[in-house]
Amino acid sequence: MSPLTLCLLVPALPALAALLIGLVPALRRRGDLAAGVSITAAALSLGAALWLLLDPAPPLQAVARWLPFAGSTLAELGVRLDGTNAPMLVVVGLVALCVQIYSVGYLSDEPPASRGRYFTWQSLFLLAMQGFVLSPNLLQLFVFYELIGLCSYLLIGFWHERPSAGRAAVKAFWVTKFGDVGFLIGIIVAWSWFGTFDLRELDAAVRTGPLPDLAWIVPALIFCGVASKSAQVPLHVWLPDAMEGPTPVSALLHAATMVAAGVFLLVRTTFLFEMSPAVQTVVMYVGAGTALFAALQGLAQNDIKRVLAYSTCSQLGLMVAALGAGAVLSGYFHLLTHAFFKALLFLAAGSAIHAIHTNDLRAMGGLARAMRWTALLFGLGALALAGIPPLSGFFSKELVLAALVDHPVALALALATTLLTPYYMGRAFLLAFVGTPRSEAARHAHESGWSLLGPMLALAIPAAAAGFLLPDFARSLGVEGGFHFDALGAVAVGLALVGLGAAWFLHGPRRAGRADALPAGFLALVRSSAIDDFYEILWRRVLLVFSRMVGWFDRYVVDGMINVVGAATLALGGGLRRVQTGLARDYVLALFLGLVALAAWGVWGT
Amino acid sequence: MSGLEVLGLSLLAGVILLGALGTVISKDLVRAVLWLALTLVATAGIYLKLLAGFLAGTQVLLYAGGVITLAIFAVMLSQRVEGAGVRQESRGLVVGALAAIAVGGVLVAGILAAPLAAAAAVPPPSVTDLAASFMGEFLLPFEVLSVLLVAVMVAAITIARRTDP
Amino acid sequence: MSDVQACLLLAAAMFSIGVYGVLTRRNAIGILLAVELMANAVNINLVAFGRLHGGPTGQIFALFAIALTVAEVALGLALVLLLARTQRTADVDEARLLRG
Repeated sequence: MSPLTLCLLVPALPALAALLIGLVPALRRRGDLAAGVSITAAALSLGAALWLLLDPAPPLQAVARWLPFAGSTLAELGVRLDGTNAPMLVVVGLVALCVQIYSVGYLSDEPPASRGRYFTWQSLFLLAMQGFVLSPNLLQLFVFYELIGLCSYLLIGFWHERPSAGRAAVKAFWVTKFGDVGFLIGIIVAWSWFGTFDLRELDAAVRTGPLPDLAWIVPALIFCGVASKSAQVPLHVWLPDAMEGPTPVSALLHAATMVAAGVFLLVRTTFLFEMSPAVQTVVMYVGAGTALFAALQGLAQNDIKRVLAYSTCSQLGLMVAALGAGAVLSGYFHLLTHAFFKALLFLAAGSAIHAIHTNDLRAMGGLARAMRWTALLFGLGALALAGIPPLSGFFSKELVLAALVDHPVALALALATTLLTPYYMGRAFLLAFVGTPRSEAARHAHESGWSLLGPMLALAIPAAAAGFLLPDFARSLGVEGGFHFDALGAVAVGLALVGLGAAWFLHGPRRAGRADALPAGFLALVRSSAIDDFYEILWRRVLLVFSRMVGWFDRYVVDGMINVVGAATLALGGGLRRVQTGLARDYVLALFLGLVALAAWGVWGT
Repeated sequence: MSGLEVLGLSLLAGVILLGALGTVISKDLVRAVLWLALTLVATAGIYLKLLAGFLAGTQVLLYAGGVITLAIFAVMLSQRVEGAGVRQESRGLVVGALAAIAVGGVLVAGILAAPLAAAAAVPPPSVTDLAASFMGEFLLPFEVLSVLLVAVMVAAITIARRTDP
Repeated sequence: MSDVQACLLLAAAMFSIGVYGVLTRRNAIGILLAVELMANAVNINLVAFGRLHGGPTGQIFALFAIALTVAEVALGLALVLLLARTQRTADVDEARLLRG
């Protein structure tokens, strides 16, 4: 099978599954059948992606004309495969497959029609994500970006009977849309300057030609889109609320793929960012700042999924910081390892949640006794996240820190994050799995079935071992980068151990599982809703007011003009109507007046 | 025109105009009909002045005899239907007057502006001439007229008959 | 002024009086009487012009006009009777169904 065919199969198979499940009611109502179709498509898609990765062909790009314009082509649709996105295809496909298999068990209590709906959206999302990864030009990237956002909305709001879920879905949608506006404007500006959307052509144009003076506008605008989807401060507010969705959704979208799309976009458009070192610096500091800010937030959460959400936000910040510093290998590799261990963490957390029907850490405790595998896998993920060797996170985190070596402030922020991350993960682990159970449900918990554990194990393997694929990965990217263990690495490991130790000390068995161990004032500050309140004010006082004004204008001016015409016609008609009095005498009068006029014309007219 | 002619014409004209005004102004319908009768008879006099003897006779016969009688009957019958006396308040007097003056003005202006020669020197047509014209040049309209009269008669009967049991 | 012209002017005056009557009268029969005036004014016109040009044409037309007018009055009065019977009064201002 040719590489092009395989390339097209990767998104086409889930697209077909989504269409089938979505449009055939008989299929959709049988939840397990829908799951089967979706999982089969995902597995085959992953197979194709693996084949492409393991049997590498020269980079290919195949496009078809999509939008004509002034005789030539404005936009094209197609696929592009090269060393950069081939690994991403596999990672996305693997995580998606694991999540879908996991979902079968996790959502077994749902009515079949709901499950059919769920798998429609899951297949649609897989199509969107793979299409995004394979996009050869900016416009197609944007289209799939939006499609990803749509699927996020659909999946976060999956339990749509819950008002909080609906609100969270809408919030996610709006915040990401807000950033995407900037992205779109950036695309258009780039097109207006360079005349093309295609990534290869843009790369060539940027390398050769003279750059416009305001060239920094394009990467700055594209970063808007990145910041919203990858939850950078201040557009991060949607990510914690997105935890309203089912845990497999959180694992797939909000740990491994959707939020990673922003980072991947950054990887794909690095050449545009290289046009402006100033923008790159901003990107780096936003990333580093987000990393620390989110880590601080993660300390204070009592909902296990929110801990993981803020952790994701923080790690995304590190990726963005590395890419801002120009180190594509570092940021990208951390993206891929993070996908594995964060998805694993979410799935393990989901396993615990499924067993005791609550997210609250304060109601958990001692689950390791009953749920050995879950505890083990969660712990593995946590250690990978903390950066303990020889797990994958160790290698990728070390690369990120190495990238920031020349930027002391950013490095400091990243190191602080490196200290806090193991602390809050340790806290979460200890509160959930160690100690004495703090609720009835925790006491009666039992291990989840293999439909949940299987995918977790499947993800645990790359989470542990992916670090050793670094040389192959670097070669695929075409960069040289190796891993060197130096003083910085030692410091990082040391900080990780300190963090873990602090967690043990503050939340361990001797403390009988107290959830809040840090100063109360600090916790209150971290938990304050100031940012959300700010957005609320922005929404209500500014945006809605403006909308109302526009609405007024539309109703009374634009519609008013039409209404005036209508009213004038009616008034004119009403006035003319009076001519028809119904009295014969008036008609005769008119007759005589006409007669006079004619006669006058006859007598005096020319 | 000789003085006598002028006097005669003025007298006739005065009667006609007086009668016309009476017709349109009189509140009592019967009186209005009678004023009309006066006007029509005076009109016959004008015809005589214009040397149209046959026409004058026909005018008196048909109008003063037929139409006036018809009108009187109609007034009586409609009075019976109405029950009350014939009311005759008029409305829109000013507008009507203005329109009438306008019409009259235009006509008068047209008449005065037209170059009218004196009366022709030929003798006026005799009854024989009229008859010859009816049977010759105007035969078709004559016949059609008779058909029309039949039609009108039938129509008048049909319209005015009582339909309630 | 010649007598033809005088007759024409007289006819014009009679005609305008008839117009006044048509526009002013409320009773249907009153309107018909005014129409009679107008018709007769026209007849005077016809005869006067016939006198002007010679030949029988003017008087022929006047005779036709008389016949037609008489027929019209007869029919008109029949209609007035029908109207009076239908709406209980001969007032033309009551007939306003075609009011817009």
